[in-house]
Parts: sequence; C-alpha cells; structure tokens
Amino acid sequence: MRIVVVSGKGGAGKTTFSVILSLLLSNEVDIELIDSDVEEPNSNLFLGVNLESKSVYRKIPRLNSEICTGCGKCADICAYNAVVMVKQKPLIFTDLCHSCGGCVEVCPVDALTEVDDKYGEIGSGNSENIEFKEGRIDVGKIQSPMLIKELLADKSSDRVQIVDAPPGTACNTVQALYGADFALIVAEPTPFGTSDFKLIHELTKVMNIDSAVVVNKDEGYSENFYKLCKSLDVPVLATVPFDEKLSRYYSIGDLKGYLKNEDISHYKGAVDGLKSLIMSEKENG
Amino acid sequence: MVDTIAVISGKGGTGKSSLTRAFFELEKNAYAADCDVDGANLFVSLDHDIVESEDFIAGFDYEIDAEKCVHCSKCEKLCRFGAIKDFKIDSFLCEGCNVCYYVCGSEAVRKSPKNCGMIHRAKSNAGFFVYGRLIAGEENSGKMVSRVREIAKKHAEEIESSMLIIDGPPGVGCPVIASVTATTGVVIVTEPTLSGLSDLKRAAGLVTGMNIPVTIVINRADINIEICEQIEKFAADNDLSFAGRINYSTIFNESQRDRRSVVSYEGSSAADEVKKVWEKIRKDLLKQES
Repeated sequence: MRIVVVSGKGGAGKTTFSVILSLLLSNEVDIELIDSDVEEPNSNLFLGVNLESKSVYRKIPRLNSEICTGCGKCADICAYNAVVMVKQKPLIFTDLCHSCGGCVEVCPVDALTEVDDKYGEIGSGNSENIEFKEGRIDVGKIQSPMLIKELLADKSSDRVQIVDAPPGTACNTVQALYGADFALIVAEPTPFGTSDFKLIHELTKVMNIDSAVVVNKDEGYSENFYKLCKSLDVPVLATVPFDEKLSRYYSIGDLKGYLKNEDISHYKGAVDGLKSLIMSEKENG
Repeated sequence: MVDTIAVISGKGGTGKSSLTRAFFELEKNAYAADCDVDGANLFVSLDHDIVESEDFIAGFDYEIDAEKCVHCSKCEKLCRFGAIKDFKIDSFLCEGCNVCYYVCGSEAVRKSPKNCGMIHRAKSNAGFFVYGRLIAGEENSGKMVSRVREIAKKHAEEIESSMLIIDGPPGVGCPVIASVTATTGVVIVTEPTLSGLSDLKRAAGLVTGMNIPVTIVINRADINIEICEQIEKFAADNDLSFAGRINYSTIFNESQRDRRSVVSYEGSSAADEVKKVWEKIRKDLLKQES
C-alpha cells in the first residue's frame, strides 16, 4: 500500500510528517519511506541512512550526419523542439529532450541512434527497521517527472510505502501521486497555505485519490480553514500547533530527538488514522 | 531593458512570497511577476483588480477514436511513458510527445490544443503585476513561466518600470530555470536548517552555473545561529554575495492575514530588517549602483 504525503505549498511540513509518521509507525508496521522530492530531497537529513547510490540514465538521440539525408522527419515529430532543422541537418538540443524515442523511430535511414545520458541518482538503504529510498536529479536537468516515475515504479513491496512528495501541483506532484492508495495533505492554515491546499486537494480529486488533512503550524487563526475542510468533506486527522522547539530540532536534522524528548501527542490522530487505514487495507487485501 | 530580479529558494516555505511582496512595495515603480504558477501566492495577499486575462494554451491532449482504431497496438508499443493501455490514453502518464499521433496508420489518434490555465495582469496599490495559475495537474509549467515573464516584461517596459521582480517557484527544475534565465540577478531566500542549507547549495549551483549573480538572504535566522554561520561561510567560500539575516517574526503570518506587506508594519524589527536586506540586494545585484 502506498500513502503519499503532499502539500501544494512548499515548507508546509511534508518531510517532517513523512519522517515522523514513518518513525512512529515503524514500531508496528513495516515501512518503506521514499523521498520523491527529487529536486530537493531532504528526508535523509533526518534518518542518516548510509546510502548506496546508483546512477540513473535516460535515452537521448545521437546523429550520424554521414547517413542523414536531411528529410526533417525527426524535427517534424519532436513535440519539444529538441530537434530542429538547421541548414537541412537536424540539430539536437538534448536538454529539451523527453526521451520519447520518436525521432529515432521515424528516421527512414537509421541516422539516429540512442545513447545513455545520466540525469540523476537513486539512493537506498536502511535505518533501523525503515527501508529508505530517494531520488536526486542532477542540478540543471529538467527531467524530474521521469526520475520520480522511475523511483516509484515498484509498488510490489510488502511494506507500507510512505512517499514524501515534491511541492506544487504540476508534473512532479502528479507523478508522485500516480498509483497512490491514499494522499495525506499537510496544510498550513495561513492564507498562502489555504490557497495552495485548495489546489492540491483539487488534484487528489481529479486523480481519484482519497485524502485526509493534517493541519500543521496552527497559530490559532484557523477557523476558516477548518470550515473549508468541512465544506470539501476532507477529514482532519490531526492538528499540530506551531512549535518553536520543533523548529530547533528540525534545523539540526534531529526529529528522532524531538520524538524522544518532547510531547508528541498532537501526532496521535495522524498515526491512528493511518494505522486504521493500513489495517483496513490489509483486511480487504 | 528593465532590470529583472528573481526571488527563489530551493526549499519551499522559506518566505519567498512574503519577501517578494515587501520588495515590490519598497521598490518605487516596480513591476512584479508571480512565476510560482502551480502555487501562486502573491495575489492572495495583495488587493488587486484584474486588468486583463488570457488562457494559457500549451501542448496537446491526445485521444484515440475508438471507431477508427484498428487495434494494431503500434502506438502502445512505441509509447515510452506507458500511457496507452487497451487503446486508451491515460492523460496523467501522457507527456504529449506526439509519437502515437504520428505513427498511427489509421488516423485514429486525435489531438487538440490543451488549456493549461490562465494568466492575469492585475493592478494593485504596490503596482502592476502578472500571475499565472496552472490548472492543478497540468503540465507545461516552465512554458507558462516564460509566458508570464514575457507579458510582465512587455508591460513593465511600456510603463517604464524601474524593475521587474519575480516570485519564483521552489526546487531546481524546469519552472525555476525558466524563472531565473536571463535575469539581472537572483535572490535565494533560505532558512538556517540543514534542509535549507542543502537546498540552497543546489539552487545556488544551478544559478551560478548559468552565470547569473546570486545574493543570499537568511529568513528566520534566529532558529539556528550556528547554521546561519555555515550559510554565510558557504556564500563567502563560493564568492556569492550575502544580503543579510531576517529574524523570525509573527508579523510575516499576520501580514498575510491582513493582506499587507511586512514593511508596512512601521517600527517593527521585521520591517527594518527587510528594508535593510532589500537595500543590500540592490547593491549586490544592480552593479551600476555600486
């Protein structure tokens, strides 16, 4: 089963919740935590897993200009302007390429072949009883959705997968949510957070994924936010007040210390909510 | 050409929009563009009237016409994104690459231009600004950023604005690259946490790799002074400018609720710190003044 932790707004607490819930649930459930915020992966700053990394490659076209007849079919099919005709020869902009293979497919004389291009890394390892995995796109590459897809391709794990999603509501988040059994929306009940919450909630509905909300950094001005959740019929699993102490633990990457030393009763609703979700999923197979 | 300063952060939620809002108010005769198109926030805290709107059309929706389809499966075999199954296209997996449309021998694949959202030009007390709103789940956020910037730049130059200020998206991907490309300089707003520092390094790497000047701001500096020092050392070691620290203040959230800018809270330390930081950013990034 896969639970994806999303927020729309950046900095709402996706990583904090993903890590805290993984740690709290891992006493009773086998957890695999996957950090899919491939542009800025941070979960492992809190787990400290010794990662085993492997490079991830994509296919990009390479031209053999001696064979090329300059017919222009490759430029014609490319939807990304990654192949353009200059003086009757194709010019390839690999940065723009989405690796669809179209140009190679339509070339009538096989002047284009595909070669590997490294665009990121996937790291994995274990932290006590949590299995951990993260994607990390090479800075300057734009293929984040491709890497997220690759990272999340395997859903066969017996473990409950908790996915720390990227911010926003565009391609990256769509790929992180694709195949999710449940979306946990972390929301900041501020005006900015509320605006972004509406967008991410809309996305979960369009993608037909059940969701629930955890309200984070509540400063006591959240009445309208709760009304909104009610009108949208999204359950609120937990409300966590703004806590300066948490900021301090977070800043040094010590969420484990926070769980050990501080009052964490505010997270109980979220833990219980997810636990019953996991149990009912198990019963229903 | 109008000077353009982009505000990005790497990590989300470090205060980009609140600070952009404040800079927009501080800079006389400035123009603003909210390029965080899948989580636009500037318009939320800024009373405004929309002057002009346009649909943002980009890419295509693809669909298989069941009556024309002869079930040859050629499109399914060639689709690299696994988006075609049982002679149907899954729009969440489709990347609009055009291959199915091109290879279909029976013209069964239809494509139609896709409406991905709206772009608005608006007037506020702080000045004119443009913002994009991508429909949740749509693609082409990078293209939308470019279009938002194009509109903003055109109008900023028409009314002879002193500066275009861009509120950028989080991350280091496609829409961030589109937001910082060909700007005068980039402000990276970070926070003194290990996450903030890690994300700052990646964002700074991206921008300096594009040969664009960078200056760094630490927001909520008092969360962790030791990490502030590490950030400042990172800036110095990499020859990046440092624009200053802003301490944690409840005024940031209060200003969102009051639809005001942080700098309008006259006499507060938050307002003073933000003003000082903006002066330093101008010095760091607008070279003719130094």
